[in-house]
Order: sequence, then C-alpha cells, then structure tokens
Amino acid sequence: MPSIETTDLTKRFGDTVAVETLNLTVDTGTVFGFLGPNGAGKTTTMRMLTGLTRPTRGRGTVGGADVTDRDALRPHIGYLPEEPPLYDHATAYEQLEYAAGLRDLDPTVAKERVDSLLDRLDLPPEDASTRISDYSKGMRQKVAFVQAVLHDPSVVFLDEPTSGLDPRAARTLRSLVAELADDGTTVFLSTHILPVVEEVADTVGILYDGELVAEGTPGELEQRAETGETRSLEDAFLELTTDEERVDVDADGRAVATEQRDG
Amino acid sequence: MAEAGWLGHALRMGWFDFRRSARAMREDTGRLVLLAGGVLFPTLLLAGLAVLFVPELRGSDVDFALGRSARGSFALFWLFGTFMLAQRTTAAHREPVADAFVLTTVSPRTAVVGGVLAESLRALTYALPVGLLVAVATAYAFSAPVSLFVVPLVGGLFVASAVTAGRVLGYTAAWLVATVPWVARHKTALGIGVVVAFFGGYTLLQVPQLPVSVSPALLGVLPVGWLVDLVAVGTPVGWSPGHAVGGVATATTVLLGGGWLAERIATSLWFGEPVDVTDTDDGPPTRPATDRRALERAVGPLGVPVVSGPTRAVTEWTLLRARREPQRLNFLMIPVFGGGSALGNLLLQGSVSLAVLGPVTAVLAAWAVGAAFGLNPFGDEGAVLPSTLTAVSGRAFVRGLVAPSLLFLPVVAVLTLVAAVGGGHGPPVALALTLVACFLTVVGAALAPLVGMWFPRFSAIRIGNSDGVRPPRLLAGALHVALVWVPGAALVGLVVAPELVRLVLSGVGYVPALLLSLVARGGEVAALAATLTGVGETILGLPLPAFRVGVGALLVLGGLLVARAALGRAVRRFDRYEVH
Repeated sequence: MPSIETTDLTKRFGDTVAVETLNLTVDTGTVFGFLGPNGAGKTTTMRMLTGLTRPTRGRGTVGGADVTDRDALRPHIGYLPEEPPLYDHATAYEQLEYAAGLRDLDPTVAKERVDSLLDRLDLPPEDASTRISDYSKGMRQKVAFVQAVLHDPSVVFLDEPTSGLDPRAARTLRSLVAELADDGTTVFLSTHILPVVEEVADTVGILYDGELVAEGTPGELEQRAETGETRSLEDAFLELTTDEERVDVDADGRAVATEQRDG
Repeated sequence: MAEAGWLGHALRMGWFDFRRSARAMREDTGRLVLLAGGVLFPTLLLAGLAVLFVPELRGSDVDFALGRSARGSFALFWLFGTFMLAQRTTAAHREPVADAFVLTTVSPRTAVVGGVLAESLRALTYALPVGLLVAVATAYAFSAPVSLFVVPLVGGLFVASAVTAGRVLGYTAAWLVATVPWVARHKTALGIGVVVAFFGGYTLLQVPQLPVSVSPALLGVLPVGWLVDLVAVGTPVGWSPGHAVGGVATATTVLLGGGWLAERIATSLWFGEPVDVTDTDDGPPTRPATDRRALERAVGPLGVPVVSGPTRAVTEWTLLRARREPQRLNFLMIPVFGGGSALGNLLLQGSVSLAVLGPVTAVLAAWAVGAAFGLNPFGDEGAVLPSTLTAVSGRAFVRGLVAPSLLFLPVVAVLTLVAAVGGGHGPPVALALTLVACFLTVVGAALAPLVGMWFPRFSAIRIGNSDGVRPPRLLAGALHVALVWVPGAALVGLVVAPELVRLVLSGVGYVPALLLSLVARGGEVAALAATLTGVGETILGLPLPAFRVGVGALLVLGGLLVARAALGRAVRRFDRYEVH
C-alpha cells in the first residue's frame, strides 16, 4: 500500500519550472532514496509533500492525506530539512520538549523516547542540557533528527540527514532509518551521499531539471539496460544527470533506454 | 601583525560592507521610508530656518564668539553619538560580517579599520543632507567659501572619531561579556544600568528645568568639543585657533589611538575563548530528576496557567525566547521612550499636569505588552519555521503567541492604577483607566500576530548573521502603534476628557469642510463643504454623556470585532503560509 502518491505534481515559480509532472509511488515501510543534482527540484518536491508549498498543478497524498491539506497532513509526517531547524538559545531537552508539546505528546512518553533516541545517537545528558548555540553541526543534526521522528510519524522526510555526522553517528543513523522502515514507517530520504542510498534505500528516484528521469531499485539503476553492463550507482547518477543523455522510465518505473537530449 | 597592503584591503572591505548595507536598506522599503523621513525632517527644518535667518545674517555684523557652552554642547553631541555607536557595535557589529571568511583572509587590523570605515560611511550618508546645508548656508551667510571645506572636514573628523571611540567601547563591553563570568551572567541588568546612567546624565545636561541640572558648558573642557572652533574659520564668529588645533589633534588622536586599542581588544574578543555560563543560570548540567518539565523550569518563576497542549508549548517557548534573548524586546523602547520622553518634556515645561500620567501609561503599557511577543512570528521562528508549520496548527500557534501578553495583564493594570492615582485621579476614573488598559492589551496582543505576519522580518538586523535577533519590521511596529494608540487615546480621552475627544472627532467634518471651502467656487463643492460643516456641528452638539457612552461602546465593540477577525486571519495565514 502506497504511503506517498503523486500524480502530475508540478510546481512553477513564474516561468521557471521547479518540478514537472512528477508521478511517484512510495510503498509503506520502505525507504525511498531521492537523488538529483543541486537545483534539480528535490527540496521543492519535499516541501510540496510536506505541505509547505502548494503545487501549481497535480495531486499528491502522504499517509492518505492530501498535500494541500496541512491540518490532515501534520499528524502523519516528520520533516528534517537540510538546515537543522533548531533554536540556538534553547538546550536540546528544551527544544525536544517543545517539539513534543507542539505535537501534544504525553510528556512521560516523550521524555522516554527523547532519552532513548539521544542515547542511541551518543548525545549524553550533559550535552543535551547545554545550549544549542554551542553545538557542533553533527550534534545539531542529531537533535534535529530526533525532533523529526519523536512523534513516531508514518512518513519521515529526511534531507541530508547524515550531513556533519561522524562515521559512528552516521552508521547509527542509517541503522535507525532501517529500523524505522522495518517498523512500518516510510522514509523519504534525500541525500548526495550515494553509499547511504545504496545501503538503506529500497527504491531510488533520480530527479533532474524537475523531472523524474529514473526510478527503480539501486540494483536496477546500476544495470545498464541496453548493454547489461554493471556500473555503480554513482555512474548511473552521473550519466542520468547530464545534458547529453537521459534514461526514460518504463511502465514499471525502470530505466529502459538512453536518448540524446535536445539541449 | 597586519598583512602587507592592509590599508588598501581595509578600504576595499569598508566600501564593500557599506555597499552591502546600502543595498539591504534599499530592499527594505519600510525601513528606507522611515529612515528617509528621519533624514528629511531635520533637513527641511534646518532649511526652513536657513531661509528665514541666513538672509538676515548675510552682510550683518556678528558680535559673537564661541565659548565653553558651544564647545560643551558639541562635546555632548559627540558623546551621545559615541554611546549610540558603541551600542550598535555591541549589538550588531561584535564580529565582522562573514567573520569566518574575514578573519581567515585579513588581519584583525584590516577588519577593524574596514568596519570603522563602513560605519563612518553609513553615518556620513545620513548626515550628508544636513552637513551640506550647514556648509552652504554658512558659506553664504558669512561670505566664507572656506566653510565649504571646513564644515565637511569637521563632520568627517566628528563621525570618524565617534565611530572609532564607539568601536573601542563596544568591543570592550562585548569582551567583558565574553570573558568575565559575572558580567556574562548579569549582562542584561548591567546593560540596562549603563543605558539608564548614560541617559540620566544626558538628561541632567540637557534639561535645565531639572532641580539638579548641569550646564553643558561643563563639558567645554573636553578637547573633542573644540572641533567646533574649526567650523567658524573664515567667518566673523569669534573662534580660537588654539582650540581648533586642539580639537583636530584630539580627533586625530582618538582615530589613531582608538584604532590601535580597538584592534587589540577586537583580537582578544574574536580569537579568545569565551566563558560558558549556560549551565550556571539554568540549574545543573544534567537532566534533573524532578518532574518539572524543562520548559516549565526554564520560564520559572513565571507559570503558564489555564492553557494546555500545543498552545501551552508555544506560550512557554515564546516566554523563554524573550527571556533568553531580551534584546529582541528592544524595539519596544522606541515608542515607549519616545512617548515617555515627550511626556517628560511636557511635564518639565509645565505644559501638562500630572493628570496625563494615567491615560498615557494606560496606552503605552498596554501597547508595549500587546506588541512584545507576537509582532514577528514568522521571523522569530527563523530556520525552524518549516518544522513549526508542519508540527502545529495555526490556532494553537496564534493562541500561544497571544497568551504571554495576557500573563502580563496584572502588570499593566497595576502600572496604570498607580499612575492614575499618582496623577490625582479619583478611584472611579483610575479604575476606568485600568479597565481600558487591560482592554487595549488584549486587543493589541490579538492584533500583533496578524500585523507581524503581514510584514515579517526574516533577516537579522546585521545582514549575514543568520543567528541574530530579528526584531519586528518598522512597518509592522508603526502599524501596530497606529492601531492601538489612536483608538486607545480616544478611549482614555473618553474617560478623562470626553469634551476633547468630541472636539477632535468633530474635525472629521470641520477639517475637510475647511479644505473644500478654500477651493470651492460655489456649486456642489460648496454644498459638500456646508454638509461637512453640519456634520462637525452635529458631533460637537451631541450631549456629552450620550457621546461618551455611544462612542465608548462603539470603540469597545469595534476593538473586540477587530481583535477576533485579526486572530482568525492570523490563524488562516499561518495555515496557508508557504515556504519557498
């Protein structure tokens, strides 16, 4: 059963097309790796799916809620934007308690979950009691991640979640993402770190110039459809996001052929 | 040690920073208009005076010599400018813009001199119209072309030396906060103490009506005030060459010595290890075992009664933000101190009696409390805005912004009651004024989120510092002032002087009628003027008790309806707000 579904989802800013007729289906309890070069429209897509930006055209549902209905959408989603959404003057405990309060979570349950997640991410109480203004980028990222999943949403949108994390914390976070999916949470993961996608994503979509140019499992994208030659996800990404070549998607959402682009 | 060619780098840096801030100013239309107004008003006032008096002065014998009083006033003006610039340094220019880039690219000397240059250019831009007018008027009035040179020279030395001294003081204050734990812990109280002490001293020197006033001539001993002698060069006004030279030498010494000192203090400030007082003012560094919630503990001893759920979370958060970053409330000082000082002057001059204290307090206190927490809701969220929009409903968010103001209702009530009784009003009037103050607080608090959402400020005061405090936009503040002060003045007027309100209100007929009658040549315009005069007469003829009750009821009902509509619109605006 799909958690995220879009039909011809389009966003224009004046004459500029940010996202063009995006048709996407992400099943419940899976990790969807969302790739694309800078300026491809990934953030705009995530903002549309989280209700932060209204689509110019098309439809979309997340957790069964229409993306234009923010009230209906709110209980279903957690969102970690690229810039950790934290207040410098607060401590991590205060910040997370505030986030739990906004979601109307039971204080005791929220406290237990905060302690458990911070412990998993190696953020000790003495650090969580100091002000966020003194945090490193990695520490901010950890708190922001906890804030995004604190209320146990059915769909989590993560934009570069491992940015600034040390290898140990990055590994823990990848494990947490996998656990979330195992527990039935759908994870929409946007990142430039391709090994992360290869490791945790069930399906991958590649966005280029606002269009979904390829979709499939990491293994499918690594296969060159025409020749059967094996390549890395990085090779596939680079090939799919240049002006010279692009891959079309077949009815099953798989890359099937390359063609010359007009310009 | 500065790098080779540091002066060239500093000039380039100062010019770049000045252009950046000028561009940012142009993009903020409201701020630009208000600043332009602030520059144009004194310029036009001075131009009017020049038109009146310069022809009289031209060719006449001037029997006047600069003395201690003139030099003292000039020195007082310099001290005032230096204090304001020091405050700007501490609040907005503690580090250079894009500090990580600047401090890894050029020496601290370059950064300090570049900053001084940029700030001097900004100050000179504001002072340019007045400075040009003074130079031209002086040159014309006294047939002294040399004034076209010396007035800009004095202006340049005045501004550059004040900026440099301001930087030294500002960096010193910031350095003390960064390195001395006690100062860091009590910085808000100390800051208020310094401001009160300075303006207290300034008032003693400026208001001779005070029982213990001090003559500005006392400051005539400060050599920086002697610069004024240079302005008189080439004119028939008596001046002292010794003082002029002393003034220039002092300004130069402040520039060079202050620059040297500022470089050293700034280097220690920028590269030193700041003290950490985070934990000491908020309890133990680890998670407490008590059942009190972290937010509840953080806003204590203030409590948030009645409200619950997400609204409570927003309320506590709003209080915590104001407490941890009290400088975000500085914007309240402008209208409150402006209104307060105007009232103070009127009282000192004997133009009004103490009876105005109650009504003025009712409006000012109510406005300040109503505007304190909700006048820049989107900007206050900063980078957190996407999370907030996806986490909480507009209804809970807006209610959470209004609630903190309501918590301060008792403070507004007590202040108004004390001021009204102190001003000589009887208990019924004092009580009525208190009720009006509470009503205005509620209306002001309800209006603030919508006004702030109409005119949000997303960038910090100092462009490039994303963590800086984002005060409400001037347009938002001005609109909120207008929306609260005008009906507020009418309401308190109905309590203490209803006949005055009736007279003012009759102006809606009389004033346009007067304007129309000036251009009327008979016919429909004259008839309209007559009708409007009739409207004015009708209002003026209304029986006072009926007028009081009728207009009062209309204002209260209107206020409630506007407040309710504003809350609803703010909720919808939050719910429909898009992040691009």
